[in-house]
Amino acid sequence: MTVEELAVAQPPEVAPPGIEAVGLRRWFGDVHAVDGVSFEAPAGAVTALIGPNGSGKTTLLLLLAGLLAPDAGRAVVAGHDLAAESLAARAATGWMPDSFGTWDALTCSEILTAFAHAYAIDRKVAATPVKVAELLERVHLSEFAQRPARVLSRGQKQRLGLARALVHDPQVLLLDEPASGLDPRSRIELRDLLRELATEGKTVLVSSHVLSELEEVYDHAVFLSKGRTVDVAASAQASAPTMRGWRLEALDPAGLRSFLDSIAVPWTQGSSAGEVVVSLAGYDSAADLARSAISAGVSLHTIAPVAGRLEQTYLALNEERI
Amino acid sequence: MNTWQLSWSGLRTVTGLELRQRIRSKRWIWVLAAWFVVIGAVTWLILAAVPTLLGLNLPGEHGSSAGPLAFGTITFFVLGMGLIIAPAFTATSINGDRAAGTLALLQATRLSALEIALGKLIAAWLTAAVFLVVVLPFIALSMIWGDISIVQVLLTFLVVFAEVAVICAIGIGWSSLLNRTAMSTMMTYLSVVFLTVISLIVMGLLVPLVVTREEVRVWGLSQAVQNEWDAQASEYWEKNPDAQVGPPPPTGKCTWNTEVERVSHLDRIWWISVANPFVIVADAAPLPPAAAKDLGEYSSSSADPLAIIRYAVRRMAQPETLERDACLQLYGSMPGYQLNQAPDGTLEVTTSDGTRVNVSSPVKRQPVSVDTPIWPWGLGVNVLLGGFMLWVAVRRLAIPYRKLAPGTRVA
Repeated sequence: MTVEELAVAQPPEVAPPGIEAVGLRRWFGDVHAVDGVSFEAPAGAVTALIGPNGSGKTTLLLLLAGLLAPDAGRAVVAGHDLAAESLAARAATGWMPDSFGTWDALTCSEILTAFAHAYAIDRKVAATPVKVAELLERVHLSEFAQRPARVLSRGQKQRLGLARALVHDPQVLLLDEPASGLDPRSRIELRDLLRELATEGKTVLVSSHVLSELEEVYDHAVFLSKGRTVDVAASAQASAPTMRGWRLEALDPAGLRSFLDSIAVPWTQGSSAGEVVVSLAGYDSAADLARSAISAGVSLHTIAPVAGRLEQTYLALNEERI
Repeated sequence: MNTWQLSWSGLRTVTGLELRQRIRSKRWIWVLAAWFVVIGAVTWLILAAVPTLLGLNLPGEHGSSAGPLAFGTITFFVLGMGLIIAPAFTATSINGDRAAGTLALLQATRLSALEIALGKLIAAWLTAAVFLVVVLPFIALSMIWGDISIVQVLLTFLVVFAEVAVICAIGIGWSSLLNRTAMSTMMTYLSVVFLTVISLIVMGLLVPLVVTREEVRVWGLSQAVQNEWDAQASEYWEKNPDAQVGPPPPTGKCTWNTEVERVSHLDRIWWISVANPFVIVADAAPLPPAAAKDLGEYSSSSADPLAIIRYAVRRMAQPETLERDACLQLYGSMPGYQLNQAPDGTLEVTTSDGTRVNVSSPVKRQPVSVDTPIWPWGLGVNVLLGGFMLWVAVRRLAIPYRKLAPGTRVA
């Protein structure tokens, strides 16, 4: 048996459907909330949706959740065209809005059970107590299972909202600012959960302002500005491609500054007294600078990029705002 | 799209969610208790006042009218209170949820817009029904004086239930149309006021517009004969000042005369009151066993408020015949004779000792029959109205939204 025959015998691996948007557009009067968004979010990956306030992230998620109809363009969610198969697309989608209202008087398990029923065709198999308990366990709310939702804190409500979005085991997850209101520990747990879900083969589209959290979890990024997707590669090259800020600290700050002056690298004062920030072209330049600083006898102990890649691009987008 | 899809499971999910959310609060129980006490107190006052209203002074004494009077009054009171509480259950159910951020979550599920709207309506209606069922014993209390049957109580109650459901549906419609809960609450209450009070005011104000001067055929004495008869009568009373019985009027000389009179065409405007919940309940309430075939006779002889309204509206609905009987009325002003309504609805003349005087009149009589109900029309109009408002709500809940009303947030 040859290699070629093997290839024929096994059907080519079809990538499970994720999200595909082409030219999506939604205007509210003369506000162009979403004005031509095209992107792909593949299954089995976390796609970050990044953009400044008012860039159309929430509206885009509403379009993908099947709540708003686009004025133009089309989108395929979990293999279902939103225009033609809205119900099937919704059934395969878990949407978590940025503001999660609760039914104050209902307990956490009751809310999850109700939503399992709301998504179910057969309510008997949809919401067994075991499934609901597992879900609450997953978002660390087991102790609140029988407590009314009104006693939850904002972060706990946020976690309940995440559980609610997962209740029907959706193929596609649309999360709008899921990290807002979460304490650091919950953020790390959220990050792990998103990673886990992506590993399970789900499509995760997550919008957030907390870029440091996304930095460690995202596989792809979609940048939005003024309702449009921004070609990151193009915009990055246009604005001083590889120059980024690096933070330098030494045991002897004065020595560091005089060293930088001696090799004619412009520097600025960092956020703390002993810290300086320089602009470098890339990792190679950073390594060179570190090497020469050490050999010049500067007691350099820290050299790190000022901001993550996402933050850098995000700030580049923000510049457009001005 | 699955806007109009309806499944038992989906309906149950929404209704369960809404009912749980409503019933969980302790406050609810206290409101229910207060409601029970207030209606109980008013019922007791009505029961205490009825004998006095009927001119009976001895405690515990009651005539055959006491039962129907108490029943009608309590029913109207409960209906009025039901119409007041019904908007509270639905007038904010959609825009309130939208503001709380829970509506879009439901819309994004497999649930259809119809299931969400109808589920909310059913939950609200069941809650209102609890309030009504609690006061059912008070309505049944009027049975203690007899002349009211359990069938009457239950059937009347069914109509009250239906009316409350209609108001609930109107509330759902407004709450889907208006973004502010204060506005939708106000509009729902205004709708109730429009149906119950404003429609009556409008009808009353329209009365002058349907009064015309028309030629009417009057069966009576011609002017010459009338003068002659007046002279005869005066002469008789001069001769017999102490007579108990006057001279019999010359009804044999009655003829058709044409006169121009003011005629009120109430049949042109009666329908304005047909959608009034009070009229519908009054007209739909089964008549007490004592009621005769002729509604007019029963309503004038009993103090049954339901029968009085029922008679008044059905009487208005009768077209004007443009005929009058002035001949029979000659007996009305004559001492020693009485005009009575016979069981078949015709007027008859009797002397003081009860002897019937034979008068034949060619004027056609129109008794108001118990068999010509108008409530199916009224209830039909109301159900259409409620159905329309529910349809509005479903349209407004249908996703994906193409157009959004200004100021509407999706989530």
